[in-house]
Amino acid sequence: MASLGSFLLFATFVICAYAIAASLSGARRGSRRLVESGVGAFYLVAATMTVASAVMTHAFVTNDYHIKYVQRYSDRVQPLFYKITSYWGGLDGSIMFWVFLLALFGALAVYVNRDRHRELIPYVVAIISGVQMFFLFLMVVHKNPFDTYLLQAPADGQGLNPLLQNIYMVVHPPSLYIGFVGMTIPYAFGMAALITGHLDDSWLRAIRRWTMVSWLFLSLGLTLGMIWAYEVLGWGGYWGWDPVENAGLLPWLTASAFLHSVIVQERRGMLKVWNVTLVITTFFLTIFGTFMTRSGVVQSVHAFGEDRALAWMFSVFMIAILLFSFGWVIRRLPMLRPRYDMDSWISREAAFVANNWILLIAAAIVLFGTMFPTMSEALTGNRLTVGPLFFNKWMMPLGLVLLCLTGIAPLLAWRRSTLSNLSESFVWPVTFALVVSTILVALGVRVWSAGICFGLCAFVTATIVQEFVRGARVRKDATGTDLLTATIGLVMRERRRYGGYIVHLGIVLMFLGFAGEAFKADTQILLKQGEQATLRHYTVRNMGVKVTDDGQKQMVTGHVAVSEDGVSVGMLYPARSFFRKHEEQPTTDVAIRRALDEDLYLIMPAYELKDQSMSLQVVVNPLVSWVWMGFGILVLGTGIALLPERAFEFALGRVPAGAATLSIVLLAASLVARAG
Amino acid sequence: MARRTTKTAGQPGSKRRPGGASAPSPTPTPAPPQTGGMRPWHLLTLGVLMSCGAGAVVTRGGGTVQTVAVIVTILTAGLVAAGLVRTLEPLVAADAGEETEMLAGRTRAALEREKMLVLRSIKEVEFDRAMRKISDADYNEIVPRLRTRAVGLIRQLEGGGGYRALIERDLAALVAAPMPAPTSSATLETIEAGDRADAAPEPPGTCPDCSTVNDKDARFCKSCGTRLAGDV
Repeated sequence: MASLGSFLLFATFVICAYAIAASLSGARRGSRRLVESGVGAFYLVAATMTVASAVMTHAFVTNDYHIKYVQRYSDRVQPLFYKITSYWGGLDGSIMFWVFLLALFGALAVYVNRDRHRELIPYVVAIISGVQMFFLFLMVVHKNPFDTYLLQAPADGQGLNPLLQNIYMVVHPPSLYIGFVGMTIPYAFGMAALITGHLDDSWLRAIRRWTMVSWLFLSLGLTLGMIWAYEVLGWGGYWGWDPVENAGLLPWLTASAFLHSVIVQERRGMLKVWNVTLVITTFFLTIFGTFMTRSGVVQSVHAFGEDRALAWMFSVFMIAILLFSFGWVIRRLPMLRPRYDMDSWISREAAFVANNWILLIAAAIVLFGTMFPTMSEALTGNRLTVGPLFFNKWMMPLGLVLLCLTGIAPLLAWRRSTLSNLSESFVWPVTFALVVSTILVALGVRVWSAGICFGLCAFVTATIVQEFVRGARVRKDATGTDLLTATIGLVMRERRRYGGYIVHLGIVLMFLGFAGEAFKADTQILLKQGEQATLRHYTVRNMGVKVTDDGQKQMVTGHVAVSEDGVSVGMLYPARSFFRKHEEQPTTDVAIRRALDEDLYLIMPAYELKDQSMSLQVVVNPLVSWVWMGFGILVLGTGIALLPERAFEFALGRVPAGAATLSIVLLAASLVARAG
Repeated sequence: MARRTTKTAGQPGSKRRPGGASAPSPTPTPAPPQTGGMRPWHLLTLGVLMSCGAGAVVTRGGGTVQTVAVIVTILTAGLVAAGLVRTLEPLVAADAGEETEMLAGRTRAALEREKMLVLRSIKEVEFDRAMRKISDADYNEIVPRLRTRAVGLIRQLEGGGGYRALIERDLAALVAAPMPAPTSSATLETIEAGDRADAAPEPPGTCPDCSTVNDKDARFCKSCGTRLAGDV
C-alpha cells in the first residue's frame, strides 16, 4: 500500500506537468483538443489524489505501522475517528491533504466556469497545476508521507498528540486548509485574466464567490482555533498572537480588504491594480503562512518543527510567485487604468479605500511582529520575542477605526455625499451611540478603550438597523406589500448587500466580546477539601479530587461547588488528563459555566490526592460568549450573501405574495407555543 | 465530465431561438455528431455501481472495514478510469469539438451570465437611487450605459450573433421581403380604431410577460429581457 501511495504521488506530479503543457499549448495554438485534454488531466489529478488519500486513510484504519507517518501519529487504542483525522495531524500528511483539497476545489472551479470563462480556463488549469506540482515535488523528494521502515516496523504507534484529540482540532485544520487552498482559485483566475488580457470585470465576478467561501472557511478555522485555545489550552484566553494564529489571520485581513474593494471596481471601475495586487498578496500570504509553520522560522506550540531544506524550497517558490505575478501586473498596467477618479473623500469609495488601508496596515503590523524575532536573530544573533502587549497596543486602535468605518461607509453616497445626505443618514446612529455612551458612563464604565468600543458598537448597530428599515420602506412603496414581507424580499433581492450588513452585525457582536477582556478578573488559590474562595460574586468550594481511567487515558477530576451571590448554581469539574504514551504531556480540561454576560472559568493546574487539595485558577471572562455568537451571525450573513440567484427565483415563482411573511409568523407562533 | 461538440447558431441542431431572421451564420461548422443512447460515462458509472454492489455482497461476512475498503477501492478506481478517459478521448476521438453554442466568439452561457449581471447591476443602481445613495446625475450616466450593454447582450442572445451578423440578417430580410399591398385609408382607420378599442389601458413600458413597469423609452424589459411593444 505504501508503494501504491508513493507511486500515486509521483504519477500525479507527472499528470500535473502534462496538464500544464497541454493547456498552455492548446491555448496558444487554438487547439480545443489539447485544451480539453489538459482539463481532463486536471480532473484526473483530483481522482488520483482521492485514491492517495484513501490509501493513507486505509493505512491509519488498519494500523499499518510499516508507514512511518502512521506509526508517528496513531496507535492501536486511538478511537477510529481520531485515526482517520490523523491524516492531517503531521507535516507530511498535511501537505498531501493540501494538494487533495486544491485538486478538488480546482476541479470544481474549472467545471463550473468551463463555459462562462472559456478563454481563461487553460491558464487557470496551468496555474493551479503549477501550485500542485510544487507541493507534490516537496512530497516526492523530501517529505513523502508514505515512507516506510526499512527493517521491522514497530508493533504499535506513538499516538496522536493528546492536545489534538479534540473535536475542534479535527475541524480546525480542514477549515483553515480549505480557506488557504480556496485563495488559490482567485489567484489563478486573476493571473489568467492578466495573461489573456481579459481584464473586464468578468474575472472578478467569477472569483468573488470563491473568495467569500474561502474567507468563510478561514473565519471558521480561526474561530475554531480560538475556541480550542479557550477550552483546551486552559490559559483563560482565546487569542495569544501566536505566530501560527497570525499565519491564518494575515490572508484573512487581505481577503477582507479584497471583498470590499471589489465592490468599488464593479460600481466605479476604480482600484483595478489594487484588486489584482490584493488577490496576489492574499495567495502569497497563504503560501507564506504555510512556510512559517513548517520551516521552523517561527517558534510556536502549533508549528510543525524546523526543516531548513523545506524553508529553502518554499523561499524559492515564493520568490517565483512574486516575480511571475507582479511581472504580469507591470506588463498589463496600461489595461488596468481606472474608469473614474475619486471625486470626494466624503464618499463611499473613499470609505472603502480607508477600510482597505486599515486592513493592510493591520496585516503589515501582524507580519512585522510575527517575523521580528526571526529577523532580530538573523541580524543580531539574539532572538527578541514580541508578545501580546505589542500586538494589542497597535491592533486595538486600528480595530476601533475599522469598527467606526463599518458604520460610516454604508451611510455615505457613491461619488459624493452632500450635507443633506450626511445629516439625514447620520442623525439617528450618532444620537443612539451618544445615548448609549452616556448611559455607560453613568453606570461607571471607565475603561476608555472598552467605552469607545461599546459606543461604536451602538453606532454600527443603529446604522445597520437604519439601512434595513429604509430599504424595507423603499421596497414596501415599490411593491405595495406589508413591511415584514418587504424586509424579507429586500434581503432576498439584495442578498450581497444585506448579507454583508448581517456579517457586519456579527463583527459588532465579536467586538463586544473583545471589549469584555478589559473587565476580566482572575485569581489563583490553593484550596484544601471543604475550603472556599470568592472572586467577584462567585464562590467556589473544593469538594474533593477523584481519579478515573477509560483505557486510553487517566483523568484526575476536581469537584468544585459553585455559588453566585450566595445561591448554589451547581458543580464544575476541572480536570487533568494523562494519555498513555504521552504521560509527560498532560492535558488540561477546563470547566466553564457560560452565560450571556460572563463566563466563570476554572482550571486545576495542580492537585494533591492524599489530602484532596487542589490549586485552582478562577477566571471571570465578561462578554466572551458574544464572540462565538457573533461568529454564528457572521456565518448566517455570509450564507445569505452566497445564496444563488436561482434559489430565490424559484421561490418567487411558486410562492404567492405574503406567503413568506405568513409562514414565518405561523412558524414563530408554533415555536412560542411549543416553548410555553 | 463528457466532452461536447461545437455548434454555432444557425446550424442544424443548434439551440438558436425562433423569431430571428434566417440568414447564414458567419462561421460555418461541420455537421453535428449523433447524440443519444448510452455515452461512455453512463456505462462507466453503471459498471462502477454494479461492481460496488457485487463487492458489498462478496465481503458481507468480512466486517464493515473490509466492505468499506472494497467499495472505496472500486469507486476510486472508477474515478481514475473516468479521468483517464476524459484526458485521452479529446486526443484520439474523430470529432474533437463540443456542443457548446458559440455566439460572436463567446459561449451562450457567458453571454447569459453577463446579461444577468448587467440586469442585476441596473436593479442595484435603481435601489441605490431610491435609498439616496447615488445622485440623479450619476444615475442618468450609469443606467443608460448599462441598458445599452444589456440591449446589446439580449440582441446577441436572441439574434445568435454579433452586431455584424445582425445587420447582415436584417439587410437580407429587407431585400428578400415582398412589397406590402397598398391598403385603403378607410381600411386603415377601421383597423386602428379596432386596435384602440381592444387595447387594455396599461401604463407605457409595461412588460407583456411579467407586467414589470419599465421606463417609457425602454426597448427591453429590465426584469426578464422581453422585447417591449414600442421597440422596432
